[in-house]
Amino acid sequence: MEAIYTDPETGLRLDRATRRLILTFMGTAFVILGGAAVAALLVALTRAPAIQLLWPSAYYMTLTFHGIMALTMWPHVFEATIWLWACTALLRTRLAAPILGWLAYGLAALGILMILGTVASGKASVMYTLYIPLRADPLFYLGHVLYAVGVLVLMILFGLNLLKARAEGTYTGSLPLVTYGMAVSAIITVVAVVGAVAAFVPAMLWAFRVLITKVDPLYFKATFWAMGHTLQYTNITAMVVAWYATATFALKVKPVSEKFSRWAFALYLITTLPVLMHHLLVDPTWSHAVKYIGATFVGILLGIPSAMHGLAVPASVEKTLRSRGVPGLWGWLRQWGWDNPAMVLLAFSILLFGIGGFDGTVATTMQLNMTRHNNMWIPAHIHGALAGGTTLGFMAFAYGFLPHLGFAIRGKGWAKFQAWITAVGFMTMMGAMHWGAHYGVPRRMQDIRFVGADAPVPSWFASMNLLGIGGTLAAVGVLIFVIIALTSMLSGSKRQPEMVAELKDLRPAPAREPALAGVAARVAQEPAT
Amino acid sequence: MAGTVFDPPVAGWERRMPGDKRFFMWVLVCQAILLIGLSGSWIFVAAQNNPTKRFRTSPEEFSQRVNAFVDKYQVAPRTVRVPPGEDAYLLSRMWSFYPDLILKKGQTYTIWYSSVDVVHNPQISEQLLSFQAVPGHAQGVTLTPNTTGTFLVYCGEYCGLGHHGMMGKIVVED
Repeated sequence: MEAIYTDPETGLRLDRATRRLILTFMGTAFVILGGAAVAALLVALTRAPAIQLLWPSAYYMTLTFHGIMALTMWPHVFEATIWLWACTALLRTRLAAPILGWLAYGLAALGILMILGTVASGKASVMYTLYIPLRADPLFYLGHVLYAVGVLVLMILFGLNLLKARAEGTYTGSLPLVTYGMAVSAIITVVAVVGAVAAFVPAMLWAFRVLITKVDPLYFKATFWAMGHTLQYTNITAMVVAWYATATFALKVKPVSEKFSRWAFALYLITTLPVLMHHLLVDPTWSHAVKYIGATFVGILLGIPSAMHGLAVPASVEKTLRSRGVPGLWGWLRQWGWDNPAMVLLAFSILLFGIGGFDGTVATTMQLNMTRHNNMWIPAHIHGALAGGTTLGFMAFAYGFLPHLGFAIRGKGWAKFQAWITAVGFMTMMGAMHWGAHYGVPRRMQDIRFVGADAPVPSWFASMNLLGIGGTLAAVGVLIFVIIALTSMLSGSKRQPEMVAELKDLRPAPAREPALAGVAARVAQEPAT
Repeated sequence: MAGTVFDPPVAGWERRMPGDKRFFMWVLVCQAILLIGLSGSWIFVAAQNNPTKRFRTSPEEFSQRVNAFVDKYQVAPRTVRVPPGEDAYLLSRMWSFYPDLILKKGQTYTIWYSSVDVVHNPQISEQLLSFQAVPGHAQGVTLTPNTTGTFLVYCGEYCGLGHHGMMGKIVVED
């Protein structure tokens, strides 16, 4: 006998063991996001010269917290929920071995606690560009290794479940698009874990002072980014999955062309392989040929799959709304769902990701890289692609996914407010970062007044104060989201499980009619334009 | 929910993509070829490219080179007037750049830079120039100053608690 939860909207079914695991990962992810947002608020208020809140040691520690929590922990822990859901509910099967999921959670949680603990102790304020020979506490590196192993265990579980579903024949034909995308994401993650082992095992031995006395900084830099930047493509593929899923939760859209979207996912597999090169463009040792082919050539190709998805998702919404009778050339944009926080966040996720992606293409062009390396252009790229794209995309997904699991969203008015304030905050911050980058404002610097310099110091204050305003709005918006999400989860679910014994009972129940019937009716009442 | 992204695709999905999707893919491929071609041909037809001169060194050896260079051309404490045609050196360490360089406008110099402790990143104020100084590796950038003035040099790579106070200076004279 097994307890099975059925979502009446989609008819998808989820067993209790998987559901528990999903909720654990998701709750942890929201807590980490809250921590990242608090750190972000402090960082933004320090970078604004009008306030300059924190003193140097506190600022560099907070920035390390912000970078690590927002860049690796929050997205990957949240992706774990999508991975687990995509390989069970969508494939109409149960988890092959929930114990592996708990093992992954335990290892990752232990790693996270070690990393955050060493940073909090002040012995690991090394940023998320922790290039050797900058030395952090040995446990900091050990934490990264444990975290990577935890992620690897989860990937093994995901792979096992794909095989299990295929062997049981619980679905016919190809994988659902969401599962397909998460499978691509999983493959990219495994590649990244190889980089993580290559970077952090020697670094850990060096920090513990056993066996290894010297690590070449360029070896560490290359392998660190073989992990670091490749993992960002894990996030991006999962973000694209979240885009499709958000539109489906909100409007039950159908993709315009399954083949087009699958091609785009598959292209990520090839183009993400040399992304580590993007970080080596101004390093010694590498020739023009390596830098050009690895970073510029393939880096520009990287934009193709992202642009394909960036077209396919709004196009799916447009096509679906038209088929339900929304008139006019731009009627679909008016009916997008601007009063639905998930759809607002989806729109701005696509927009911000597009801006961040163009920034990345500029920065990875060989000759331009030198003019962008380590100034505000790079945070602009990260906050467009990762914060704006992935975080907003995942928040939009959560607004659909929590009700899917039976948790009502608490504070709907706050959710609407949160979506808009986050979007406006990120847009303002991105504008300020581009403005600053144009005049060469360096990134990760506590003080840009350069007291005691005997050369003219440029005045960058206007752009950086604007950054402070935008960053504050964005961080507050994310914090409101975390409170909404956690209170919704803690309020509990009223959904009752049913007890079933047969495996075939995991097949979906009949789904409800599209939620947009109401919109179509409203449109029909309006005079035709 | 058949036909949505939560379900296996309906039969026939693997048939040829619709024409508008194929057109869009070709547009993307063409813009990629254009950008790749621009950057690739720039290596051969233009002068602004990433530095590729480099040699392996050690912090001790590079410090000796810098000290010999400073002793030879020093005009004031930690200030060097680089004669046209000579190679210049810029050492990064926690937390300063050494020495201050005086260059002549319109002359071509090669500046060798490296670090003696951790990774640093000398950047030249408002010129949007950024160089990676890595211990154990020296790299040389060849440049011709075309603007006179005094330029602040600061560090773009986090290098410890004194990071924001790490400064140097390049003066370009007529």
